[in-house]
Amino acid sequence: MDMEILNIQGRARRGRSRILLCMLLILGIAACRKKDSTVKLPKVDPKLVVISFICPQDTIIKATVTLTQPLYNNAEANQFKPVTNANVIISGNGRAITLVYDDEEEAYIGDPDLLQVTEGAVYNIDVRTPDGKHASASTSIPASNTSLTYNYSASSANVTAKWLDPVGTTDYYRVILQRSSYFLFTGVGSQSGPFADTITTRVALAEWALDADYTGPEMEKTISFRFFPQSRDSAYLFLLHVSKEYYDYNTKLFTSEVNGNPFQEPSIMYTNMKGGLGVFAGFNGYRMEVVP
Amino acid sequence: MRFNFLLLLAIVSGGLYAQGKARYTISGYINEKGSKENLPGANVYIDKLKAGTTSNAYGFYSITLPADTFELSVSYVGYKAQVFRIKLYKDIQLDIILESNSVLEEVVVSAKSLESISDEVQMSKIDLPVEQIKNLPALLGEKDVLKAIQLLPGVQKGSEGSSGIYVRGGGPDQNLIILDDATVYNASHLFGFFSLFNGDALKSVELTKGGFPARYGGRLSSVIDMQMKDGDKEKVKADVGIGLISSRLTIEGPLKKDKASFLISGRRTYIDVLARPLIKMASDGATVGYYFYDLNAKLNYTLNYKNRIYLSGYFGKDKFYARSTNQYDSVVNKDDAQLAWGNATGTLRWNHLVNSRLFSNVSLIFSDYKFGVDLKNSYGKDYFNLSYSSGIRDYTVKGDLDFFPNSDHKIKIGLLGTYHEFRPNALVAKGTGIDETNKKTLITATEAALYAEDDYRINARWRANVGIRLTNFNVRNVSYINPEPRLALRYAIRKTLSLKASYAMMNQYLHLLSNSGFSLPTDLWVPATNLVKPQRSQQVALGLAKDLKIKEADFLVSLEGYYKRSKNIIGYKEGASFLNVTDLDPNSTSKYTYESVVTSGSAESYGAEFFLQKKSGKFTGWVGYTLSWTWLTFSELNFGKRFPARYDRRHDISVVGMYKLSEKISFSAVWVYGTGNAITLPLASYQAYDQIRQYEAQTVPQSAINHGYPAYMSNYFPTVNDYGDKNSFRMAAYHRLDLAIQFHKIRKRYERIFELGVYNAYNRRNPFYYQTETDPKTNITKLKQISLFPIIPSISWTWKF
Repeated sequence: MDMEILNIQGRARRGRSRILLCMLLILGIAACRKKDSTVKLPKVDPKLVVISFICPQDTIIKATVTLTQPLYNNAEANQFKPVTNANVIISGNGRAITLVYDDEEEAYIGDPDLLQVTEGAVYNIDVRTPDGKHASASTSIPASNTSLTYNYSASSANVTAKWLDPVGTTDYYRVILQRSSYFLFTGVGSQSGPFADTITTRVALAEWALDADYTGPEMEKTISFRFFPQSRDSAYLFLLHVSKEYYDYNTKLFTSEVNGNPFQEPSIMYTNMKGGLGVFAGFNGYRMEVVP
Repeated sequence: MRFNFLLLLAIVSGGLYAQGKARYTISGYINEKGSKENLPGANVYIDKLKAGTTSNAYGFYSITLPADTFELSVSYVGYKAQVFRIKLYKDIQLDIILESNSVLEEVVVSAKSLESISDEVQMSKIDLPVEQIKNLPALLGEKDVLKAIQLLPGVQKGSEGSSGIYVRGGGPDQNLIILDDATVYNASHLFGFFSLFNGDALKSVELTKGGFPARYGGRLSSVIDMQMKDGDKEKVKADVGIGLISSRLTIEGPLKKDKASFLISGRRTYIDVLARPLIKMASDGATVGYYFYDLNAKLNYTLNYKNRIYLSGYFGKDKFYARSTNQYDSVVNKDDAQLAWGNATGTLRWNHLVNSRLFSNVSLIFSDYKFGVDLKNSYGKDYFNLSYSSGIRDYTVKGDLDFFPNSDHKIKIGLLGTYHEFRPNALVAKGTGIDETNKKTLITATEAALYAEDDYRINARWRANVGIRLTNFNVRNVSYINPEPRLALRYAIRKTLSLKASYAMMNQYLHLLSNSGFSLPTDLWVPATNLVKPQRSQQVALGLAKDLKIKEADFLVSLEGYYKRSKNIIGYKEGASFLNVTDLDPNSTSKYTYESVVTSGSAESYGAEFFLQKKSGKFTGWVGYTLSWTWLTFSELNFGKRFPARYDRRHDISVVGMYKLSEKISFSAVWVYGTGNAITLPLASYQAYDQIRQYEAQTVPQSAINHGYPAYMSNYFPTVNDYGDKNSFRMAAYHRLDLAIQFHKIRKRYERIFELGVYNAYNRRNPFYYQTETDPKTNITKLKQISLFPIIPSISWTWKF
């Protein structure tokens, strides 16, 4: 479909939604709708929200812990301060580490060398707060898929990633093309005088791939990409073999973000956190540099 | 299987034929005195032989009995029963004229219905007398057939004021609404606040919720079968009504005495005219308006005793318009927007009496629903015009045979073929600086059905309706063929008490894409395809039916339990928006086809219904109570866990009373109660974390790049809502009392009815929807309930000439 038609359809859609809203407005006037007093709501206790992704290639183990905020009659609604006094333990494969709250990260962090995230193993997260809240979840680490190859086509400006999917299991993949453009930035700082730093601009293009959508073991995904050597581009192709928790959380997040469209169906966010919300999800990555 | 079934029927009826003494047939038409209107569903009963039948949809009856002398009674609710002494020693043609009890000198309505609810084999069916609908109080005095149906047990309304119908847990798309055999696709005006059906033009309204006979098919949950009046064959009559928002006029009369008659009935609203100054104020000088009209017309012609022709049609339209002209820096900007939708149906029927035991009907049926938006904008010399439309059109040929071999069997056989044209999307756009777009999608499909059913009186206690329907649907390269067995059984425990059971399988090859909750004209009918499978339901029901007579007053009591399972019903995917669907062609490769936003699942509903009706006397009315559960399971919704349907209503109560104080004054009252709708409401929000936000460029100093894998490039923390489980929040319960008083003034040449009504008499603030409101100063959000209709009085006049 060319842009022209898309544009007209967009206008048509906007026109249609505008006219519908207008009708509802007039209907509202005509029917002398009444706004009643505030609706009585069930008491909502804040729930723990824990988010942590782990993989064997990690240079840091990290978990964020926050609380839900009641939406109504609450001056603090939509302000989420980290919970700093929780006890956060990640365990699995015969090891356990207690994560420590870090002010800069606004998260609990731990040393990956102490946990040694290993493929095939099952890991658990357990979060407790002094006021008695408790959330826990578990995930497993899929095998790294090192069969990744790619094909860069300058003429059609894309990169096609290809890999082999193991037979007999349900697998979820995320293919990421990460481009970094480096600039040397020099200037005068406010206090410390002249300085020079490298500025990196990063763009990530990510696609999901499900083995259920392919007939054979060969899977591929094409991502639009063009090299601009003048900006000292470098690019890496990542093949993340992700757990179901990782897939469900991230795909659901895409439709669950609050965006104010009144015609949109409510989307219930995924969680695997027992006693709370959020996600604890494992994945395993493999990366290779894309060379033009 | 079908062949065997027919063979079996032939053997059974043939066998019964062969035995005993000579048999003769009494047959004829049952008509109303005066108008000569056909009376469908009138009862013919011979007490001596414990045999009986009912007239068919065209008022024809036939019963074949052994030679004898007996009394034959004919009765019909609201009409004086008649008894004939018959010496049956040859075939008799007996046309019967029944006199309406509502004739003015008669005060007490005492219909003597000999075929009663306990005798009938059909369960889960309610006939709603049209006269009763006219006596019920109504919103703004607009009498409404579908809203009267909502007062019956097993039937629930959607949101406030809406004429949407939810039968035994089924959605509004699962109701087959037929007017003179023509399917009506969108049965509502003004977002469902009023229904299309103008009671003045209707003769009968019948609702079937389960135990569907094989002659009906194509929808899962109910059949609302409406017949238009034929038109008075004796004299010209007029009926004029003036109400708060609309006026109506019905004229009927003979074209050729006793041969041909006509009826024409129309209604138009004038809120646009009345509200114009108000709207002009509210909308900055623009002209904005809305109106709807509908028109029913029918012609019938009796060629001879054996051949009759009926031509009937319905046309209705809703139109919303907005026009404005502004001037910016001496450039004239004109906007003209129109939104219109409407149905048109047409039915041509030919009744042919093959012989006194075989009645045939052939129908040609047309049905069309169209929704359209026209936008015109001009700014100086530049212009932009856009028109968008969607719709569905059906052409149907239908043939039905009613065969009355003897008093124990009533056989119906029929064939139906429909050619569907779905036009989900047509867009024409042109304007200054853009290329003209002309994009149309047309999907065609054929649907066919073959059915046979037999209403069989096995003995004095047992009666059965056995049937089968074979359905076929073809769209593009897919073809579906499904047999649908149907069975209804009645066991007479005592003369006025019976136990009934039924089973029905139904297939539905059409889906309705609709934004949940409202009945919007944008609701779109789409065909089942290879990806979106046809819907199917199976329902079993068990019930007790009892006729009662207390102090000369007739009562009926029924108690039914049902269990229904439906599969392949559709719902929107979480986060999907109907307004994002741009391409409705199922063969399209576009990302935004309807198949990509819907997901299919299954429904399970069960419940019990209690119905107590007082049918005669000065005081008439009913109490209906429904206890029900409706669960939905979709693998892609609520993480595969079952959740209550939005319209899952634990308790639903309707109390309807009509009291005729005197010839001049009558009262009516309706009280309804329903458990609140189950909705998904966010109660809290939290911060999520998007590890890899797509297409997001971030400029970060090298020194600040974090550790992680892949290097954390996103610091994106979107806010998401915590909804709990899907549909886990209950809106407040709905209840309302409506009252009306009618004053009748009867003169020699006319009758005038003056009605005062009150809708929502105790001004209950029923929830329509919930809305959040944030105070910008304190940043505190409150959840507010929006109610639609406060107490609304109404006034209307009707004159009958």
